[in-house]
Amino acid sequence: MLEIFQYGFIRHAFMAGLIIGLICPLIGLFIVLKRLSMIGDALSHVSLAGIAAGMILGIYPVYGALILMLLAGLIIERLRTTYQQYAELAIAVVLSSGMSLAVILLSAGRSFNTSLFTYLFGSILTVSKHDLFTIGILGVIIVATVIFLRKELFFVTFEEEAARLAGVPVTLINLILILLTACTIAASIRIVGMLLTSSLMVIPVATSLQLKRGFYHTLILAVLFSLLAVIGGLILAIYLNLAPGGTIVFFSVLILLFTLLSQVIQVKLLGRPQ
Amino acid sequence: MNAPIIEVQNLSFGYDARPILNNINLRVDAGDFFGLIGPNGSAKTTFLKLILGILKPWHGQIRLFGQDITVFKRWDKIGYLAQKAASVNIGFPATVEEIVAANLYRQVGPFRAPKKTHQTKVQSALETVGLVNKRKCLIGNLSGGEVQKVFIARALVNEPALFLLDEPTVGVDLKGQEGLYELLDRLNKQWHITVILISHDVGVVTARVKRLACLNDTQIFVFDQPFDFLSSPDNLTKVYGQGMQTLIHCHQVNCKGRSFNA
Repeated sequence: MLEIFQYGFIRHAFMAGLIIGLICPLIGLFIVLKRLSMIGDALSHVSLAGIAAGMILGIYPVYGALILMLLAGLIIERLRTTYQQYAELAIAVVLSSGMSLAVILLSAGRSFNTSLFTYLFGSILTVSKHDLFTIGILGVIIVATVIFLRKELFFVTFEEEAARLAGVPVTLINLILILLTACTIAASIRIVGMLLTSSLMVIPVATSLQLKRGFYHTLILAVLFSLLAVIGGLILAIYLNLAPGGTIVFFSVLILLFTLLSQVIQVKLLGRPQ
Repeated sequence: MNAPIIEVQNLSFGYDARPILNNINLRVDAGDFFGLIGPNGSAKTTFLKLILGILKPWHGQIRLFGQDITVFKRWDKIGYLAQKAASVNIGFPATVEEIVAANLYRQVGPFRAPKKTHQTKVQSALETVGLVNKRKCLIGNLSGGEVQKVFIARALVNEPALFLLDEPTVGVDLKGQEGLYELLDRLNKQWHITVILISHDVGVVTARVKRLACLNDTQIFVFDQPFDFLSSPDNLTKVYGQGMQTLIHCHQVNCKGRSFNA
């Protein structure tokens, strides 16, 4: 099986895959626990508009996606304070705006082609050195920020008011989290595709939450489940010649189902509490 | 007279254009055990949030530990147990220890990991509330009373000089409530922590606290002897209306060892 690694594009795909396998659940855990699971979806839809704009303007589409998502992140954070009681409304507004802009730009630029297909569902063949460099830089920024701000992110995610009273700059931390989410999606588009990126942020977290551990254990488990899904999904995609976005997310759903099933078996057969 | 911990002068506040606190004056001294009661919507929680600097007053001045609130920096000297603490997301994957340690943020500082001294403080706060053996438990696996104790430990971990509690007995059974009041007594008498307690339970509060204030209809009424409040039917009518007075008549109230029919 190791012979597949003699191909440069596969090495690139695996390296990029392992980076996104690390960063997606790292950010995903905070997003899920803040009950903002749909934020990834909203930003992914905005990213499509950025990709379309990049294609039209002739710039690297991932940069187009990143710029537009960072802007959308700022707008979501602003709308979340405007609609405090309906925080999910901010997400819906941005998702719809992003998608409508994407459709307009794609149809105006006549961009419904195979290149678009790789951004929608991910691709192994097209991960270039340039892609890998961008994903690597974004990965380092995300991992370093989460390590440095782990105390702040934990407290703000658990209880904003108490965090504010304890001296944590809550507004700034919320803003950083949403910008990191945008960076995570930008890094993942090439491998998982914009349609399934948010799934890789949410499903490994859903699996690790089932194991009911402390915060940092939950975080490590989510990363492990995600890396497992990326490795399994990429191998499946290479051998069956499928889009990696689908196989990676399918693998992570299988891990979730297996975990849920083992929980049920433990309770029903062994009588252990969940 | 002990040093003042809280001094409120001519304080006014409201939401939109509607005033809900008007020209409030209050002084709470070191060592006080102060009760704050009042009907729903009488701005008890709002008043605490003004003291905590979460809300800004329309007019008036608040001084904490002798310093104006606008320049006050030692927020770690104030512990706060919010009303909604009991309804926090208990599905959150965090251990008791992780939650209590989070509140040491000011002491640990940004970008730094907690040191052994910080871990000792967490241990000591958990010992105070009797939860040391549950320090590795997930918050979701605790009872309502135990969850409340976790939040009390979180407030105590900074060794505060002032402890503000907003309706701490909501969702806690009678045994848990008794344990909570005993703990507050101990904190006040042995640790000399000044306590301000918001509650709806007029009978229990008047029996426990050293001083009492009632908020109602934008005004505050302060009683240096809590017994004075219950012993006068006019006070009850002034704060809660005629109905409450009738209700209190139905109960045997034990106040600081003195039993009487209110």
